[in-house]
Amino acid sequence: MKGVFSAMAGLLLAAGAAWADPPADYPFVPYDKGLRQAEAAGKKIFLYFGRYGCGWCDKTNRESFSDPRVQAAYIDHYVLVYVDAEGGGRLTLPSGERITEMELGARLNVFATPVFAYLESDGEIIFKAPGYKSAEEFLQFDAYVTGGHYREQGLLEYLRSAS
Amino acid sequence: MRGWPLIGVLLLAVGGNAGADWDFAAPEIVGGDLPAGAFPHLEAAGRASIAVNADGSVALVWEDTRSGQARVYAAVRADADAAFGPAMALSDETREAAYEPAVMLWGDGRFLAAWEADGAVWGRLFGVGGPGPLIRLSKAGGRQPTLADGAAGRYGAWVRDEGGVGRVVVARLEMDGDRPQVAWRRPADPAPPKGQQLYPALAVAAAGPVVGWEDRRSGHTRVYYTRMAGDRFTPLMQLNELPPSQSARFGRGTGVTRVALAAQGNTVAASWMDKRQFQGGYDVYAAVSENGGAVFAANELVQDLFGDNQPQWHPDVAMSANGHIVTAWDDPRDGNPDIWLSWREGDGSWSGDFTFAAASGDGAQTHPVIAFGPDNRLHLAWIHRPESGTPSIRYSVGTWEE
Repeated sequence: MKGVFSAMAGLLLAAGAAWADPPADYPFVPYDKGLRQAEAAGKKIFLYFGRYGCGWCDKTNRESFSDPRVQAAYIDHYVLVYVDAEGGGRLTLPSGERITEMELGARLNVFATPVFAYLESDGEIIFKAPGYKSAEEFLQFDAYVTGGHYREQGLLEYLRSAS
Repeated sequence: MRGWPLIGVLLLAVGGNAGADWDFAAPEIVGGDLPAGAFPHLEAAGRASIAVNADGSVALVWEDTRSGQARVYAAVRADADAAFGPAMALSDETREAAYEPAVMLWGDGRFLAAWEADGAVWGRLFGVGGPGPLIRLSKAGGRQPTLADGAAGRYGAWVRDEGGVGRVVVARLEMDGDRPQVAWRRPADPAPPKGQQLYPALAVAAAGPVVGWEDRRSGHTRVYYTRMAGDRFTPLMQLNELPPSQSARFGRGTGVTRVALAAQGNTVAASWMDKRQFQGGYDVYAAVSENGGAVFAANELVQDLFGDNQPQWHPDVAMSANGHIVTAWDDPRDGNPDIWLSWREGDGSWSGDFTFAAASGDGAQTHPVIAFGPDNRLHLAWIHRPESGTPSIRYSVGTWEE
């Protein structure tokens, strides 16, 4: 059954990708596919909640995701998942529940876009980072996650100690 | 956080509602207890998941996975004193899955449901006697169906794909022998779509059908509406107001989504999610037309200041025969999602927000759907997700107490 859901979600999201706002030159995939890829590869997930027409998403794409250091690190370290926060594409949660993209935002109480979330390979959220983030912040978040510091330190504590 | 509702009640009392309030009956579970691992959803386009007959019977449609697959079900409450009957399966079990059912009153004690399965829109009449034959409503592909009925007829609307772009089509539905048929289907906007058209909502005013939808032609989402005048739809109008100047803060647009409509006579009410004040996520906005949906008056912020710093989700709107306009939504202002209601005052302002014990508290109470009955009682259903265990669909009926 999951396969059916995933295939349908993949089709819908493939159609939807053209009208949402993931950054160019990054291999973002739909949620279901990303979870499967992450589990198979043992990689963490970088989840980007965007919205069609979202100015801060565009700013982040232009100013932060265009940084080659961010691009190299994030493509290498994560399975990249994009969710259209107003989209109706269907996705399947690890619990087996099928919900829409917008509903995922409601469940995670996403206030505004963009929201970035770092997830373990099984879908468990490590932390969420709402709003515009600079390239330097993305690199700091990456170091916090890939270095495993989140297991021992909160993000703010880590950022203070790293500065 | 739990102190806020008390303050809200106090403000509500001094805000002109003293001595007038909703009194909701003890809730019942609709469709029975689901097996572990099953999930119910109330997610029709236009939030058209509940319908009330002139005789007081109530129909609710939903999707759940009790069979291991997403299927569409309905239950009917035969009269004001009865409980809901058992869940009856409406969708075709030979198809892969069925989603997002909508419902409307059909007449003769029956209701019509429509849903998406295998990328097409299907329908079925049903009543206390069970379901009728399965019918296909969309000619080709279709999704996100919604339904509405009124003195001016019965209508459906859904999204069909045209070259990878969604386009809202409206269909007039009529009886043909023992089953409904599509008398005609027309795009709500005769111009070829230049961006996705999504999640239609319908209401049938005395003057004819009114349809609203999310439209992405402008590089961001706007809510457009049109109404049928004669045999054609009028030029598109924009429902959501935009901030006076577009700024980098908002990008190309502020974010609007999931419109719902309701009508009585030629008064039409709309509600939707709107992020023009983005710091607190989506707010519930509303607008009212007094001329059958030809023009809607200025946008109105619905929820009160206690919900301002929290996102509101899943708004629905209903209008009673005696002129009450009510919205319902869920938001987590008290730490977890609860159902909230607000009603439009005579001067066009909205009441303080109201919840009640059965629709609030532990777990999550979400996805409200509302409809008025002929006796002006408000029928409300929602999803209850406990902190642990299996979610369920709950229903209650409210009476306005002066």
